Amino acid sequence: MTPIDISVLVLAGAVLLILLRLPVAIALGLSAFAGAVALLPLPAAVSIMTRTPHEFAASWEYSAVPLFLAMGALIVRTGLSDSLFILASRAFARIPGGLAIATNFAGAAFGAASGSSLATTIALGRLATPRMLRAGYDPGLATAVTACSGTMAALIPPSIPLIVYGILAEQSVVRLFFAGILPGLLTALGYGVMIWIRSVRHPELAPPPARDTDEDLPISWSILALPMIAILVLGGIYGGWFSPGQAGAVGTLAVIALSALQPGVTWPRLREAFADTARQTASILFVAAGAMMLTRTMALTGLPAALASFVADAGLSPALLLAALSLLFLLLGMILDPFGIMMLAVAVLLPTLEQAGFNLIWMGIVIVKYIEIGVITPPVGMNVFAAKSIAPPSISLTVIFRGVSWFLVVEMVILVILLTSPELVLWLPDLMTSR
Amino acid sequence: MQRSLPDRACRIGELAAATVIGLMTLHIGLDVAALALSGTPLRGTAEIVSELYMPFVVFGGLAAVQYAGDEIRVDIIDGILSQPLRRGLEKLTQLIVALAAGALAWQTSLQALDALKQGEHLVIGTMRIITWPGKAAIPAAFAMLALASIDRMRRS
Amino acid sequence: KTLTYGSGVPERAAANRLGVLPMLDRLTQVSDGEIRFTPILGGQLVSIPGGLPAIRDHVVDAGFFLTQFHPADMPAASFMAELTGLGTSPLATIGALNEIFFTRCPACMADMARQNVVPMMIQSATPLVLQCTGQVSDAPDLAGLRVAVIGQPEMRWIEALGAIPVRSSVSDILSALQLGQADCGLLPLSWIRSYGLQDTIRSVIDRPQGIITGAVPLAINADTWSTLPQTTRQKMIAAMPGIIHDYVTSAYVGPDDAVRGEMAERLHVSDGGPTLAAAWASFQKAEPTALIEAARAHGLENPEGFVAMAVETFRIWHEDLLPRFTDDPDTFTALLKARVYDAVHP
Ligand code: NA
Ligand code: NA
Repeated sequence: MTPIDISVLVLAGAVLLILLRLPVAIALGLSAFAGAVALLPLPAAVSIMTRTPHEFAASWEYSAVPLFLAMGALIVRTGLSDSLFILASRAFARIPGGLAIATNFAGAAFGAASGSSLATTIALGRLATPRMLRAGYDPGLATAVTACSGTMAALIPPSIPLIVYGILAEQSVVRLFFAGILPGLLTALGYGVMIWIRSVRHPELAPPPARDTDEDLPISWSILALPMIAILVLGGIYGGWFSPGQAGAVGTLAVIALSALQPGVTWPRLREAFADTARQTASILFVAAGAMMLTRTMALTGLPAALASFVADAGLSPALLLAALSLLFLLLGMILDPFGIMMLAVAVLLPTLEQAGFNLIWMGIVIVKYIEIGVITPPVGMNVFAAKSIAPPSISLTVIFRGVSWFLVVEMVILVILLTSPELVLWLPDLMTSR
Repeated sequence: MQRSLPDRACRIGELAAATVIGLMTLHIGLDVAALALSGTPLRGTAEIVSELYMPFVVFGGLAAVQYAGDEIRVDIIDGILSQPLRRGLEKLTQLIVALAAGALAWQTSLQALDALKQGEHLVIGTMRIITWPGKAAIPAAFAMLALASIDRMRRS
Repeated sequence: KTLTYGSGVPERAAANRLGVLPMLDRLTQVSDGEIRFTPILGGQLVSIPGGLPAIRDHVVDAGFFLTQFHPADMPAASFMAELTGLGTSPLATIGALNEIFFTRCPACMADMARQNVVPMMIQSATPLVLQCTGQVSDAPDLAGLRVAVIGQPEMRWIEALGAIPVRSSVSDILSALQLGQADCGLLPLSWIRSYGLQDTIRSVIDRPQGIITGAVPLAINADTWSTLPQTTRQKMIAAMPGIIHDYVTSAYVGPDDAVRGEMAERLHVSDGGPTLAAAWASFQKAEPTALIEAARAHGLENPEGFVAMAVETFRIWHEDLLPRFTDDPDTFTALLKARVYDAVHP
């Protein structure tokens, strides 16, 4: 068996185990381990695979995930975001699909304070999904909109994936941040239009609001809470007071401070929020650790390098190269972990892309877009899993993935725009950093 | 009501993770404040966060998730299977999880024991940061995960 | 025989492109094709902290690791990473480091043997220089500024300048400068270009202020090493002095010079003037005392003796030998061979 055969078997095995209802993390880990055993002496395979969980967890970069999750859990548990959300849903109430559209734009706003696509999905899911379901929205739409709107956090700065890309590809993080803004807003716009069109054509997806729901809750000062936290977090980052990684901690502390002014917020409720954070962190990062094991096995098989040299030797035209790249990312994005894909992509593909004369800031945005599509595609979609983990248990993953498919259609349109017009991506960074 | 052993173990893991998340939030907040107010950041924050806190934070809640049946899995074939077949598959799944988690717990406990014997640490200036507890968090979490899956297998 | 080489260093880093990969090619060449390497770089397979266990447990046959991540596993070798403040010349520093590591520190070699790895060299990088987002040209300008540093040893120098050292991970340091969390960074000059800092940095104090040390860019699993023919091992050891010269010049000195050439017109460049020179001199005088404290924290036997030996070895390479090999690669190579690699037994 050649290493390439092994890599194909490992990937197929992972998918099969996932379909057989094995927990995704265990399915990824077991197939990765089997591949490692086929490629390495047993003690070496045991060493690399069993060391992965600790190495994965003992990371300063990943500490942003629980911190932003804690911020989201606290905002939800303390009800700080309720009145803002009510205001937004009122503003959008007359529009078909208004609640979902409001959730979508709330995702863009939250993304401007959060660097993590996962954390944003969880915050949105906690906030918006129950309201949409109560209003009679289609469960697929009510969950998918949170899973997909979360991805904007990775494009709209601050963004953890863009920071990681900047380091790996040796590109300016500030330019990447500016470059992400327009594609992020374009995504929000595309999603919004799609939801509107679908709601107009199928009113049963998003019934117009009845007058009697929680819309009559009094709106209080707390309408300012979320904007204040966003200003603190963003102002602190851009004012040089703390790093995007530290921002999650500052945001969490700010939420705790503001919630002291909120009636009914008690110590047990804060404790519950931290317990929520512990469970969400574990359930999500466990899958990511399994995906990292799989990424390592893939590196051992040499499949990525073989693909890269195939692409490089094929002498593709830039357009074909981009098409091949797209196919590759979409396939890998189905199962591997987002940061793993980034490492593989930068390590093996960037030289080819650079040689083809592609701007690496533009490529960074495209690559982050692809890995964000990967977190909403089956069978392993971290954002979808996150949306599922906080939705009512009766909504199955299949339902959510089906809801996501419409957003994927929008993503295809946006990708075509991004791939064909690099100037759209580069306009803002060029404007902001030219002196 | 008397709680079962797996239930209690899961709750302890979750509580540990929740406490450490709170601690980590405070620690980073203090670091930011110390730099802003006095111009002297705390030493070793990044090392303490990544080596000491994060292993507890990432895996502490794992068993609680599994115990509650909230683990991330794909349920596409649920509709196809008959009730007895589904129960059988569920028991088999939990057995596999228990075996995998048990094996991981065993191997990582050897690594943790090594780290403990070495007194594993990092040196920051003249300060030593003990890092072996982070290594010990991993086998503990996986042992609890195995326990939780065995309990799920019994209950299903 | 094909050996896998694993490293957590980003694939595109100059250290890989211009340093490690050419080194691996040269070793293939000198072994007459007896050994080849399959590099797996950029953390795809092994992370930076995971480098040592991966080589030790034979996940890869060879690889990169940082000694400072393993003070408990290698008390003596990890102390090599504290010597940042002693060096100013890249070649003299790497000469001194390898002389200490291979010939004057039996505990370092014992550390390596216990870890089941055979190191081919220990490396020093490029001189650190101050790069600031505002106008800075001598020591008084720096008082009270926040300076981002990557390693712990650099903090002592920044404190000596009356500035505030902010320890940062590589992932944070770039955005720290760009977003204003730090006013300056004490970084290799070439980072201006490789990390796109030219939009952010306004002034540079281009005087060497220490050289980061302590990485082992090529270590081979001891079992793999013992399966290589004796003649191949001899050829590899014999080639190392020449390889080290080219490694330092092309991966570190070259990229710095390239940036130095193009930045003069865009940036305010100074050497810090007499105030900074005086501050550096008194810092270096005080450094041995601080190093003895650090050596004690690492648990070294005879900290005073070890530090005195290290300081003297650095002095010999910087004061006695450097004038002889400046602009003379062959002399450097011969010195490294005579003083270090002749004593390494394959
Ligand atoms: Na964001
Ligand atoms: Na996916």
